Formats: sequence, structure tokens, C-alpha cells
Amino acid sequence: MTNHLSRLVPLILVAGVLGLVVNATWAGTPVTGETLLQLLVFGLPVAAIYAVNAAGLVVVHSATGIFNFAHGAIGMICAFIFWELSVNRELPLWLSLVLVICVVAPLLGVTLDVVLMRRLKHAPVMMRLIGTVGLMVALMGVARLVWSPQNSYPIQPLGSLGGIEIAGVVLTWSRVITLCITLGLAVALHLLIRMTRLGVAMRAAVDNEDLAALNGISPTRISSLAWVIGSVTAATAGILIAPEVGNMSVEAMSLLVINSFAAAMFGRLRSISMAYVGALVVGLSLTFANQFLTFEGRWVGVPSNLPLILLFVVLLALPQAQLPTGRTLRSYPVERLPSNRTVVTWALVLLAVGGLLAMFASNVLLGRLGNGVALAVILLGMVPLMGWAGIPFLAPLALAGVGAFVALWAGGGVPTLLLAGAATGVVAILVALPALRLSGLSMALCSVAFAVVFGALVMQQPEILGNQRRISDLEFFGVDLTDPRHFLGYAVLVYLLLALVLVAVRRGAYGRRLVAMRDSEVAAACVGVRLLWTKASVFGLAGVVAGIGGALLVQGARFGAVEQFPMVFGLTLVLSTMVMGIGTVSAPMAAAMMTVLFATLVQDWAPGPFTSSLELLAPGLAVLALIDMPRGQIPMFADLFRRHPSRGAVLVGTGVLAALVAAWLGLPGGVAVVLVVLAAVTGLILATVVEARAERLPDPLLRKPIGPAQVISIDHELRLSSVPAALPAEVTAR
Amino acid sequence: MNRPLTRLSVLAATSLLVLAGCGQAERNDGQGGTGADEPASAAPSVAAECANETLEATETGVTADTIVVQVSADTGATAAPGLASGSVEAVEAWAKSVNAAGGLACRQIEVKTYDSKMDPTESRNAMVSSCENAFASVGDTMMAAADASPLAECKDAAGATTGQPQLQTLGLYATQYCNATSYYLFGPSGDPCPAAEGKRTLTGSTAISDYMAEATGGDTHGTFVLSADTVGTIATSVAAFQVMADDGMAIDQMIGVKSADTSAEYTPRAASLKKHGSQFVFWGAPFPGLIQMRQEAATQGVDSVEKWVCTSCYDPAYVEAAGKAGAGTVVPVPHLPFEEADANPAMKEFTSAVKTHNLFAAMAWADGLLFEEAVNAVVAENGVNGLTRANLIAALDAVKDFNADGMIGTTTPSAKEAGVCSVFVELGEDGSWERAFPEASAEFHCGALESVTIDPATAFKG
Repeated sequence: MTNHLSRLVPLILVAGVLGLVVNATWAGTPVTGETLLQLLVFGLPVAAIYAVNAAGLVVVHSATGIFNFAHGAIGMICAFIFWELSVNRELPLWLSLVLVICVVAPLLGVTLDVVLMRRLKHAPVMMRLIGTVGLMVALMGVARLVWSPQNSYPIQPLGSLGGIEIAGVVLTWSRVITLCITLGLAVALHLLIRMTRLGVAMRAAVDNEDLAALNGISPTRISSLAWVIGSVTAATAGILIAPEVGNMSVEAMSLLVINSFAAAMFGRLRSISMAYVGALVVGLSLTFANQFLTFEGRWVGVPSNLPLILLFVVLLALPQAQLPTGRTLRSYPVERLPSNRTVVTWALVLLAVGGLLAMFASNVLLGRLGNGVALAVILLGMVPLMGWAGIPFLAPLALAGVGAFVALWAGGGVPTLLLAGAATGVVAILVALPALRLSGLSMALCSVAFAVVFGALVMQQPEILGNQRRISDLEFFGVDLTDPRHFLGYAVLVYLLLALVLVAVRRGAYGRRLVAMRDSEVAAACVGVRLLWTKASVFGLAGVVAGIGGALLVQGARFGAVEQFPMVFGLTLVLSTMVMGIGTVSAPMAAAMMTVLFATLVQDWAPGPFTSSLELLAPGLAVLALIDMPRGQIPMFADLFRRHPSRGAVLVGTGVLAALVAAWLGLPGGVAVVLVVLAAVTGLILATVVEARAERLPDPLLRKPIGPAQVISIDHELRLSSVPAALPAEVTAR
Repeated sequence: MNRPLTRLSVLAATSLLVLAGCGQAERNDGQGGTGADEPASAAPSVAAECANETLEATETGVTADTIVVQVSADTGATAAPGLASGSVEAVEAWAKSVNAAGGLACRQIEVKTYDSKMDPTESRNAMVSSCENAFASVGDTMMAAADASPLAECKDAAGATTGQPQLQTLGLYATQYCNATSYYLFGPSGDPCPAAEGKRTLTGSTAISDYMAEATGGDTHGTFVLSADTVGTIATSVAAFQVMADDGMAIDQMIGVKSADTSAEYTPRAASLKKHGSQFVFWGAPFPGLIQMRQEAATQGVDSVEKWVCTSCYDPAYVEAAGKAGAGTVVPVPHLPFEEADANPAMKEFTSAVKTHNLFAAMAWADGLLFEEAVNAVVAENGVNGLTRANLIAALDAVKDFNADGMIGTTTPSAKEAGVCSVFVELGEDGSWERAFPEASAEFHCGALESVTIDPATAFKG
């Protein structure tokens, strides 16, 4: 009864708010049988687009347990290949269709499965999601590299001109075809998953791979088949949607899938028929808003953000899975707590490097570095939240935006950092309260919806960050912080201070509670950890730090604008931080410096299409590293250096040497960059091979703590990567 | 697959991408490209009258033999890749042309480029870079530039805060274009300087309503469409709409569209055109949306629209992407049509030197001509060694009624007022543009500058 009530209250609240909004924005269009029929005719094609994407998301999740953020990007790549074949190479339309849907898409599916997805399947939910975000980013990079964004790629819709007239509205043949294919796809996928042996095998493999294997089902084969089906679905969606998207841009095609999340979640990622109902609800809501409501300038973004508002509502209203109990748990003791000596040493190193850069770098580079350090502070907020508490939150820049606004509102001076942090902490807790019952994938998607909706409807307001705001002076005890050199030193100090505070928090009882909650919420609750309070407080802590970071960002730029906090950029930042090791306070700095490095590479060292695409490709490819080392590269390399300092030095030296040789030879920027990248990757491979061969199983008496490299060895010896544990993927690799 | 093998696959993938990147680079070069810091001329030469001059390095970006200018433009924005590549191409071509003719102030022009990526932070970095390395910014096209303080606070070689002269193609936000050292040929939006918020008085030109009155024979009513991607851009559009409405173009409805809207979302919009019987559609958003709207309007049998007026469609990419659906599109352009190159030597030189023929390219080329005029004025006043930013700013401030040798409508670059002069071109069935208004070749129509007092955040209803 209480459960039902707790679900009903938000629904009633949402319904009330919707009623008020409709009342306030009613355009006066009469509600008649004809207008309602028109609503249906307008809404069905929109719903079909969402449905075909949602079907792909559901089928992949049902068969592999992975929520594929890259579904739209796979469709985008296939649509571009379709254009290449049918328009550029002038192959017959049918042949292009057959080649893309029957050859390219299945091959892509198998490749993705072998290289990435099969290994992501047993990773924690956060990593699985981030892995597909990385894939999306990488595919966008590939597309931009191959198909110059400066050209247009028109694809004609399938079917002839004309259509059927219903209630005075013409439904074109191409949309009729889309609707038919969408319905056909639904029936086919439903039959496949529910009625065939293959479908049963797929579901069995997701539920329990061991048991499925005992019954003669090959998990590897099933995984490949699932990705083949997923890719074919994505390709079909891509080709159907491409003519509907204005300029077939890489970005629009890849991100359109986000609007289908609500539909997919409506079916709880399990039911295709419910996902279709969800798509219909989303499509009709969107059309209703366009047809019957009028929004003034500041709320003009409401209709286009309805799918994500609905996602928010669906996630909050859906019943959540019970906490897993009675299952084995494997925990990686990866993040060693740094000793005081280590903390002080690295703090001094960071200060020294900052000082050196301040002395020798150009103002442009100093500006980028200052901006980078501010981003690092924002990401630092994600360390306790995502790294220690294990809560997947993909909207760091939305929180930073709050801090930025508060700092600007308060004048932008140094003391406003504290005010910005405090205000953002409160906002973070308020935002988190309704979402505290969510976990795993639901929380991650909820944060994506929050980032987009908050950015489009709140931060866009002219009084907040919609109109650009400036900071004219910035001074602290007589030091002019508008000088980029001074600002860099100031930003580094803020970062160090917050990092030291966080390290102290991690050492304390509160930090241990967070880690306990990450490892097992049930176990933590059993030993007296108050989960709701702990979750709310860690959101608050993350908000404080991210808010300070946001304030620092606008102080460095000396202006605030909504464009400084885009959702997709936030996703790539989180991805980079996870690759570096989100449980460590050094990872945010490393991730942020990567953005500085790429910006400098693209602008100064090696401008050109390759490096421009590398900005997108690199974080995507880095996901592969994430699979090998779930807790990130920094813990692994720290371990490597600790155990084998000389080998680590050789590793780092490879990249540096390649850079020096390239500079000495005076190679063109692009070639030099390529050489350095190849040398670094080769060095990484060699180091890993050498390390893997040299590494032995840990001392059985455990006189020394087990390091990350040894964890990999243990996994390898025990074949843990190929023998799935009999537990849900959420807890398998912890 | 084991770990080393996975990493080898990354290596292989990287190698393939390198090859792909090389191919791409070649293709881009063929299209005009956006390479940075390329020499503007293969065979530098100096005018004969400079032979007896002893040239000195007089300012940041001015050496004894070169003048460095920087063009900062949104060429690699993820949201709109290649958007302002024309600006870069035009400035490089202009520099090449000047250098081939003997240079400017007895020096060769070197062009540095900066991709501002439609990102406020990179736009700011672009300004910092220009201040550090260039004598002036020429042909800047940065849509997301939110702040001009790096230009305003820029110090010259002597350490004085003179500011960095910036010749922009267009300005969107008052916080940026109100900067004292920024100059515009295609007037900034109608927001007042200094930047204000809430209810305020904005200005707009009546040129479009004058054309509509001429073309339709009197008052009309229609649909106004603007880009709803950001609330900030709505302000400038709504003021222009209101000025047009006050001048006889009644507003049936306003619609906000987003770049990512699908064609299916345009069906109800097309149906509403039919319902209102709109006689015109004024399109103030990126052109891909207009193609979608026109295709949907054709499908839904909308026949009331007599004029499709679009501000962003005078672009070969629009003609190619729209195909037959684009016929009848009318565009107000602030420069002579490219098709009239034979009637104007400046336009003739532009069209033969620059491959990309669009608004940004034309205005960036005109910026080059403005820079040339100002530098020549400085040389006339202070000699070839009088090239300082302060002198250049004084010269730019003194330029009145500039028209780039008749290539653009007459304007005062320092006035910070919305542009009022346009030529209207119409796209024919065969995909070629023809002058629609005024009829006489090489002429512009200049409307009046009217003002409206509104709060743009609430004035839009759509």
C-alpha cells in the first residue's frame, strides 16, 4: 500500500503540473473529432521514429543486458554508408539496402561484440553505459573523418510522392512505409524473443549464463547474434530516419535516440509492445504541445524537450528492482589510499608544474589550462559520487552551471566560490531527493534527462545563463586574477585544497561508508549505514565541489553563458575521468588535461581533420582500456610504477621520445601526432605484454596488498573474464 | 580476445584512421580547406614605391616585411561543422590577392587562422590569440562569442591598452558587438549598446517589409519562424519581426524550430500554414529546416504562400540540398548577388578568387577591403612605419559610408546599428538566383531603421 502511494504521489503531482501548464499555454485550438484525428496523424510518424529506435534499445538490452547509448550512432554510420552506396556510388537502391542491412550491419554487430560488448557485459552498470557512450563518441568521430561535415548528404525517402489523406492531413507513402516497417519490426522482434528457441536462449543467457551454458547454449554465439540483431535494427532505423533529419548531420542522427529513451523505459527495457506504447505517448505529447499549446520565448524549448521530461517522469514512476541479496560479490581493492607523503609530494609536483607553465606558456595556453583546471574541479565532485559511492551521475556540467550562475549573481569574486558551492550542494540534494530510490541504469538515464532538461529550460533563461554575463574584475588580496598566470595558480590551489579535503573524507568513517554502500547496499544497510542519508549527503558533497568548479570556470573565462555547459561535453568528460580512474582525486585533473591537450593539438600543433576527429575518437577508443582496468588507468599505472619504476619510465619515455624525434625531423604536425599516438599505443601494448608475463600470482600469505595488475592475473588464472558469475551484471565486477 | 590483441586492434584502427585522415585532408584542400597559417602568397612581392622605405616592426603583428592578421571563425563546430569556413577562405584569398599586387603598407600579409568551434571558451581564446599574435582580426565569424574583454583589454607593443581592432562579418550578441574596437559591415542585431536585459528598445530594418509591399502590392500576413536552439537568439529575431509587423507584414503565428527537429514535426507546422492561409513565410532559422518545411507544405497542399523569405539560404549548399523544393525562395542579402559579378569589379575579383560563395565569405572579403582602406589611411597620415593599433582604430573610426567598392550596401562600420541595405534575390526553377528587388543591376534597397520596445524573452509566442 505504501509502495503504491509512493508511486502515486509523484504521478499526481506531475499530472497537476501538466494540467496547470496546459491551462496556462492553451492556444485556443478547438478540440473536435477532426483535430483529434489530426493529432493522431501528426503524432504517428513521430511515434514511429521513436518506436523503431526504442525497439533496438529493448532488444539489445533484453539479449545482452547492455543499454546501448550508441544505438543512434550505429544507425547513423549505416545511414551514411547507405548514402555512400546509393547516392555517391550510384548503386541501385535495393542493392544498397541489401548491402547495408544484410552485410554491413551484421558485420558491424559482430565486430562490436567481439571487440567491446562481450567484455562489457560483465562490467558494472556504470561502465557498461559509459562504454557505449564511448562507442557513440568514437563512431561520431569516424563519421566526421570519412564524410566531411562541410558537405550535405541528402537521402530521398523510400516510396513515391503523394500519400493518403486523413482528416485533411496527407500521410506520405514514405511515412506509411515507415509505420509498416515499424509495426513489422515489432511483431518480428516480439516473435523472435518470445516464440523462438533463439529468443528463449537470449533471455536465458541474460538471466544466467552458466545455467544457459549447461543447457547447451553458447553465450558467445548468443551475444554475437544479439548484436547482429541490434545493429540491423539500428541500421533500419538509421535509413528510415535519415530523410527525416534535416541535413543528416552526424550529431543529430546520433543523439536523436535520446528522445527514444522514454519509450524504451516505458517498456522497462523488456517489453517491445510497451516500448511502442511509450513511443506513441511521446509522439502524441510532442504533437499535442505543437498543435494545442503556445509557449512564449523563454519556454520555447518545452515541446522539443518533452521526450526527456517524460523520461524523467517514467523513471520516477516506474517500480524499481529490489536490492540484490544472497549473491556472491567480487570487490576489486583497486584504489589504494594515498599516503600523506604521496599526497604532499604530488601536490608539490602539481604546484611546481603549474608554476612552470605559468612562467613559460602563452596566454592562450594559460587560458586553456585555467579552464582545464576548473573542469578538473567540476569532475572532482564526481569522485565521491561516482567513484566511491558508485552512483552513476552523468550531469556534472548541469551542477556546475548552478555554481556558475550563483557566482555571477553574487558578483563573481573569490568569496563567491563558497556561496556557489553551498547553493549547488543544496540544489544537488533537492534534485537527488526524488531520484534517490533509483539506482544503476535508471539513475544514469535520469541524470542525462536532468542535464538536458535543466540546460534547455532552466539555464537557458535570460536571467540565469541565457544572456551572457561578465565578470569585470577579479582580485584577491591585491593579486589580479584576471592575469591568466595568476589565475592558473589560484585554480590549482583551489583544486589541491579540495582534493586534500576529499582524500581526508575518503580516509574517514564517512568515506568508508560510501565505499561500503558501493560494494553492497544491503550489506551496508545491515551494518547500520543509513542509505538515503548517505546518498543524499554524497550528492550534496558532489554538488558543493562541482558548484565551486562551475564558479571557477566562469571566473577564469570572466563570463558565463549556457554554451559553456553542454550535456554531451559533460558525458565525454565523465568518460575520460572513468578511463583515468574515477575513484582517485588525480583522475579529474588527468581527464581535464586531456581536453587541454586535444584542444592545443587541434588548434596549435596539428590542425586538420584527423586531429579534429581525434578529439572525438580518442575518448571513444579509450573505452577499450576501461574494460581491461575497470577502476581506471591511474591506479594501474601507479601500481606499475610502484612495483617496476624502470619499466614505467620506459613506457612514458616511448611517447616522449617519439614526440622529440618527430620534432627533430621537422615532420608535419599531422604525421608527428600520428607517430606519437602510434608509439604510445605500441608502448602500452608492449608494457602490458611484458607486465602480464612478469606478473605472478600474489604471495599466498598476503604480506603485501593485492594490486590491480595482480587482480587481472587472478582473473586470468581463474578465467573470470570468460566464466560469467552467477549474479546480475550490476554486481559482477565490483 | 586477450588484452594485447585488443590493443593491437586499437593500433590497427588508429593506422586506418590515419590513412582516412590523409585522404580527408586532400579532399578538404580541394574544396578550399581551412588550413592554418598557410603562406598567403606563393611568390611575395613588394610594390615598387616601397623600394626606398626603411621598414620597421611597429606593432604586435607588424614586422619589417609582414602584417599578421588573424581570422577566427566557427569552422569545426560539432553542431554546425564548416559553418564559417567561407570566412577563412575569403580572408586567405584576399591576402593572396593583396600580396600579389605588391602588398599593403609595403609589407606582405600573413593570415593566421583560429577555429572558434562555436564555443564561447574557444572564441575567447581566439581573441587572446589574436591580441598576442596579430595586428588585427579580419573577417571574424564567431557565433558563440560571449565576451569581448580580451579585445578591449588588449595591450599594444608599447604596453598601452589600446584594444585589438576586430573586423567582424556579423554580430549576434550586444555583449560582444558593443566592444569599442569591433567593427561590422553587416550590422549587429538591434539590441542597444551597452547590453541590456528585460524590456528594452531594439531596432530593425524595414527593407524586408518594403520589398513585401512592393512584391505583393500592399499589406500581407504570414508566418514568422525563428531558431529556438537558444533563447538568446530569439531576442534579435523577435525585434526584427515586430518592426516588419509594424510596417505591414501582419503576424499570423510565430514558430520556433530546432536544428534537430524531424520532418514529421514539420507536418503540423505546414498544416497550420494552411489553416492561417499565410501569404508569406519569413524564415529566420538555419536553412535545412526550411527545406523540411517546404517539402511538408508541398505534401500538405499549402498553396497560399506567395513568398518564402529566408535569411540564410543564399548558399550553394541550400540550392543543392533543396533541389526543386527550393524554387521561389527569396533572400535578402547585404551584398551584391554573386551572379552580378560582371557589374562590379570588387565582386568580380571576389567570385574569381574565392570558391565558397556565401554570406560569410562575401562579408569577410569586404572586411579585408575595409582593413586595406584603413591601413592605407594610416599610411597616408603616418607613413609606412605608422602602423599601430591605435592609428588603425582611429582610421577605422573615421570610415563612414563604406561600401567595399560597391560590393555591399553602404554602412558605417563603427555605428553598431542594424544594417538597412539589401538586395533581394529569388531562386529559379533551374537552381539559379536572380535579382528580385530592386530591379536595377548593382543597386541596393535601403530601408529605414525603426525601433520597438519589447521584452524579447516574452514577446515571442509560438
